Amino acid sequence: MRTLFYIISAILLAQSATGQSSFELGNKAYLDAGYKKAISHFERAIEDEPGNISAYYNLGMAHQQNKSYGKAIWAFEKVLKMDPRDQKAEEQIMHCYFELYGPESEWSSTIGPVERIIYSVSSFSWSVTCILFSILLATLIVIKSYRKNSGKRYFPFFAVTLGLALILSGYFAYQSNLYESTHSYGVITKKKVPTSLNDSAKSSGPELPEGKRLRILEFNKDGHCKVKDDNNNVYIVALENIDII
Amino acid sequence: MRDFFIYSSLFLSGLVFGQNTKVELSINPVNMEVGEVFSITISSSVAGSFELENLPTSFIQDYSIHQGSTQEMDYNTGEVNVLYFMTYTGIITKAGDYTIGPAWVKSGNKSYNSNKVDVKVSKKMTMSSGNVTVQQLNDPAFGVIECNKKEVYEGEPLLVSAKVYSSYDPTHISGYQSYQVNSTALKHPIGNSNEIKVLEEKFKGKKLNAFSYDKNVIFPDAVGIFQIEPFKMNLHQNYKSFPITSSGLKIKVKPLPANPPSDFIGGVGTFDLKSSIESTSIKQGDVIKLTLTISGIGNLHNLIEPVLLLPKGFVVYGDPVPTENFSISSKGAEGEVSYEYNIQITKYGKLILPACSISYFDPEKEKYVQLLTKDLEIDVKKNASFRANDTKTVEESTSEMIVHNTSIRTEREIVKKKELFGKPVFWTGVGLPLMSALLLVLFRINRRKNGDSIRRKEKLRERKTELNEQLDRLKHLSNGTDDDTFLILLEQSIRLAVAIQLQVEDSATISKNSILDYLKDRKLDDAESRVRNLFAMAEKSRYSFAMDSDLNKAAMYEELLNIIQKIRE
Repeated sequence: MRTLFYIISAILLAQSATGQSSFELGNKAYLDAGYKKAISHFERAIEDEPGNISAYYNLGMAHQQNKSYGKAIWAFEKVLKMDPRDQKAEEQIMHCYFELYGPESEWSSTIGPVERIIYSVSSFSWSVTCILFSILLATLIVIKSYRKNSGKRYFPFFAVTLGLALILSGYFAYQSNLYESTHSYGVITKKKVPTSLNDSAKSSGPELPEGKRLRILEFNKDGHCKVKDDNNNVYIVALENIDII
Repeated sequence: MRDFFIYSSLFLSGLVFGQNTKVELSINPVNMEVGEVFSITISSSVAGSFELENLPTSFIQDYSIHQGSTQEMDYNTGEVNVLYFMTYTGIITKAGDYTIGPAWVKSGNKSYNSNKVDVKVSKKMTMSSGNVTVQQLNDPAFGVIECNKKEVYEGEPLLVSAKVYSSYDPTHISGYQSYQVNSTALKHPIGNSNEIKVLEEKFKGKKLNAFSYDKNVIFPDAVGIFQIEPFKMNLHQNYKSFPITSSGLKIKVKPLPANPPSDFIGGVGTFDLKSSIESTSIKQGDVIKLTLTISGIGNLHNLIEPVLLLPKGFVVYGDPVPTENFSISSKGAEGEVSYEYNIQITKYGKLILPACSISYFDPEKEKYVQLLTKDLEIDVKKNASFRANDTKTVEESTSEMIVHNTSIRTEREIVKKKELFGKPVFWTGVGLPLMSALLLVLFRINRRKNGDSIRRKEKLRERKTELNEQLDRLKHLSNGTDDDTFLILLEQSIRLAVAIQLQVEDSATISKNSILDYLKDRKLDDAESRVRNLFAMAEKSRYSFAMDSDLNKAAMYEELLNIIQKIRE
């Protein structure tokens, strides 16, 4: 028994001594200016932990150092998707835009300031809030049924408030869930990407620049997707040229 | 002499030409060594007695006091101002930072105060002198050149003074010819060269009178041997004098170590660096002022302006504007030099103005030291009217290095995706409390209704019992003589029986007509006529003048039972 304990302890110690996570290895490679190596480590870290927001941010930084601004923008947009109030990620996107398109370039978030606040609270949290309001409202109804004559004046106010809160939190939970689960935007991650204006390959459209953010309308079966830019122009782009946020 | 002393002076009255009252305290020098003679001057535009506060306890005053008045003409107004002053000298015997003043001038009933002056007294520097010959030692007086170091680095300050030793008590000097240096390096006088303080010192075992004179700070500007040529003077004791020619001195000036950092600004000494911007919230295209302040002791007067390395989006306009605020003390130039840079911001957003760095050479540590300011965050609002083309031309003509805030995140921040919305758990969580509450309310309403029904049934049971009791009593009365009670109870029993059937709580509210209508409605015509007869018989018996002796109560009772039986059916 004691021998087994020693063996397990030795294995665990050995693992902890050598076992650096991909995230830590990525950070080390980045600080040693090995940006390509850092990129592969951070990508592995994201595979291991898809919710590792810091790995996405650092991946963006490594791409930025590697002059792959399109991919960097994609990584920072992913950070914003997970935390819409991450100002540092916004600053980095602006910097990438500046590098790609010069000082006149403008970047704006896909969601407004109010939505940003709503989405920064996860769908899970809104759902829990909704359940809590439901419990509170039910409690209020039960109390009222037992104490018929007391609190006559305040009952309608509290009941309406709790009812509205319940509906609103439910709506926010629905919206947040929609925002989290749908992939409605993508970023061009290659230098110049050819497009077509409709499904026929003959009608070619303009080339889209690296870093451009596009709204995805639908995915086609042939490895293309229909996208729309900020000016409402619709293009067909190969999925290999666009990274989905 | 303690915290303060009072000197009163009486001045001849003079004309004061409408001048404002001004009292000023000045001290020269403000940076000194322990034992170094310095002067304190109080000047005032009004005549009166002078007082000075906050003198250090370690202050020793000389005997010499100069006081008087001067007249100055203001050429703008043509007014002549009279300035009264008092100057005295002394030494401080303990190192430290002191604040002297304010000085007060009392004129009549009024008092006027002056400014305060900060002085810094450093420890006495150890000086080494050149060689002294045996002949010189045997002379009644001799001079040496003293220096704080025998080896210095290029740019490092060197403190040099003429030192005179004599076996007699000197009264004054004449024909002084200062020591000379073999380079273009300037001599920066330190302290009051006119003031001589003779002290008794031991030199090679001999007790001699000694004083320092003509103290200067020199910044050697060439590497190699720095030659200081002898000084000459006549040292007097009253009418007798003795000519002195000192020995010379050689100092080695070493070059700074090779390969200085790229941000080396030529500083040799000990420095500090601070940066500041005038505003952290601006519009795109605006110009902000960045001030770099280098403070410390060393060759501040010979610094090269720091070069800013800024990222894209920051454009430096022109050369920085230097502002010097230092004085030369025995340790070198002490104070600060500020450089003001004009920077245009062509980007927008929350930008980081990166840290600036300088390097200097520290002769104590014998190595280059780098100083770094902090990153400054600027919030730049987008300016739609700002034209980027204007900046492009500027940017092209400006050499700048791309520096960007490239720090990464070292702390792992995980966003765990937990799905709840739309799942059965969610709908159960939202629906169950509300459904439970509604069911509970419905249950309570139902229970309330059932309660009413039970109460009614109990009441009915009670009234049935009441009716049976009445019938028992009637049976008893039918054999007795109390006809009135019998008749009343008889009527009441019929009412009660109908009330039970109609589920009316108070049987007294049921009239005879209601009973008859009830029986009619139930199509109990036989019962109706029998009730009518019974009521008639009862009324006849009750209201006839003479009671019917033939009242068959037993028959009436039997009739009542039959009627009630009918009603119950």
